[in-house]
Amino acid sequence: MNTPTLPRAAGAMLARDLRLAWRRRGDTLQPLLFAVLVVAMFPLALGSERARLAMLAPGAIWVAALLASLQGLDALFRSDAEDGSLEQQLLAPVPLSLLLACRMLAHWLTGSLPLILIAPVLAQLLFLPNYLLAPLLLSLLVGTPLLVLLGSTVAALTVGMRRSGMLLPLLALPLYVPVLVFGAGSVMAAAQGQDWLGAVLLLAAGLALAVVLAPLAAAAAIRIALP
Amino acid sequence: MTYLHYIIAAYSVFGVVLAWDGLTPWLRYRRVLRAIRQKAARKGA
Amino acid sequence: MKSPILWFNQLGSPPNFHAFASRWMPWYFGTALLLLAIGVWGALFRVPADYQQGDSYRILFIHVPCAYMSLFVYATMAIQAAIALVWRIKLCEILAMACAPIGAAFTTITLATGSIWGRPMWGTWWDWDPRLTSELVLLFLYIGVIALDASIEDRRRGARVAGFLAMIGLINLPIIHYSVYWWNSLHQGQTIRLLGPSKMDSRMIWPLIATIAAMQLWFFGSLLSRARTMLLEREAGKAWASGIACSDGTRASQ
Repeated sequence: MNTPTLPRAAGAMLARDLRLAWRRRGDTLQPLLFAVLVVAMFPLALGSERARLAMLAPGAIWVAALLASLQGLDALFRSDAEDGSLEQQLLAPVPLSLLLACRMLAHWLTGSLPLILIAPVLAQLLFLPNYLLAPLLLSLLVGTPLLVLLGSTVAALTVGMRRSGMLLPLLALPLYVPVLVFGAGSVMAAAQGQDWLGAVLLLAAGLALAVVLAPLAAAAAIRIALP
Repeated sequence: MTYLHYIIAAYSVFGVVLAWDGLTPWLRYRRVLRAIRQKAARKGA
Repeated sequence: MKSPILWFNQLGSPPNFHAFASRWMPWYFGTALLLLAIGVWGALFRVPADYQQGDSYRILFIHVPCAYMSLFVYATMAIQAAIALVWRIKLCEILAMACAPIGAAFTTITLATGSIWGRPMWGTWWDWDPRLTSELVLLFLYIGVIALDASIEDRRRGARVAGFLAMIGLINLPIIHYSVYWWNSLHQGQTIRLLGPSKMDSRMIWPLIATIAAMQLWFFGSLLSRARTMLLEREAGKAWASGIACSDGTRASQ
């Protein structure tokens, strides 16, 4: 049996994860619904005054995206760990980090990309000014992959634990802090008329690093975490 | 303005937390020793 | 005379480490308490009041050492974890996990004393400036490591997994600090200077040196104490452990 080439292995893994996500569409969409609900909570809690909601809109949408990202993390490796596929992936002739990178990509495509696509709707719900839409979308576009990469690395550490409960969010949130600060901060800076691209570029630099390092770290983490 | 209350509060927190840090391992150590002793006694009996 | 490398290697064996820790622990704690007494006495009764901050700046003498230690202990924890992961040394796993509660204690003291000091100084119990926010996140990192280690039944695997998390957190610490600094400058928050416009007079510094040294020694003492307890817990079934427990039976243990 020939060793598959790296692109073919990556393609196969990606296709598998996407197909699985499609078969469990309901589960895959839950984080998205959660984000919408979180956004809806803000006007309910703070009152429907336009100006105040508009001021809070970028932060609220970013927090919703962050919480939704945390939601999906627990399920990321769970089904594969439970049915033994994860062990198979460990033993595969292709690097585990490559397979994990594909999983992370699939997770972003199915979890965060839909959120970015409905972000304009969320923005409308919170009366976000139109000129802030571009900074918001760009910051989410660069920031959510970073959240997925960081979160997956932490999720890899808890693989094999039966019920991690709230442990995973507790572990991931400190690592999320810089992403949230720069992501939401860039939109807030735009709102004040200041330069906002710098923060996004910093996020992009972080993303470039994480794309390389996170799959490697996650692969190491899985090897450490599995008995 | 008297800062006395603040100083007392700060140094008290300091003392309490350090005492916790110093005492808890020591108490745990004694408990472990006792457990080992009891287990050895049970096995020997 | 044993070569240092041989001595170090033998230290890794549980009975040897237990003996080493039991022997040196009282000295570390004793010296630490002595230096602490000197430092606190100096801080409260010898050093003159600051012309700007009055007496409240005396909190600095316990706040600064704990702030420095909260970072030092984290770095130590991450280094121990790295050694444990690369070379699979059991003792380093234990040392790494023993660091976590000590670091959390220092961080808690830092946050609490900082908050208490801040109330009369800046009129507020809390501020979201870079230093305080980073310190708060540091506390969450410590709690995360402790929680992760506690949630895994296999003690060795738990230490390795939590140690890996500690390493990830170490890389993240400066990033968190820098990001909050950027966010803070963006929102033009008040810049909180640790010492205020008045510089530290050299006549005021000496208790600080004493307390910093005291906390450093306290850390080593506490580390040895926690490590030997954890070691004994894990090796409870072994013969050497029973030997120690039973020979200690008639007198109070150290």
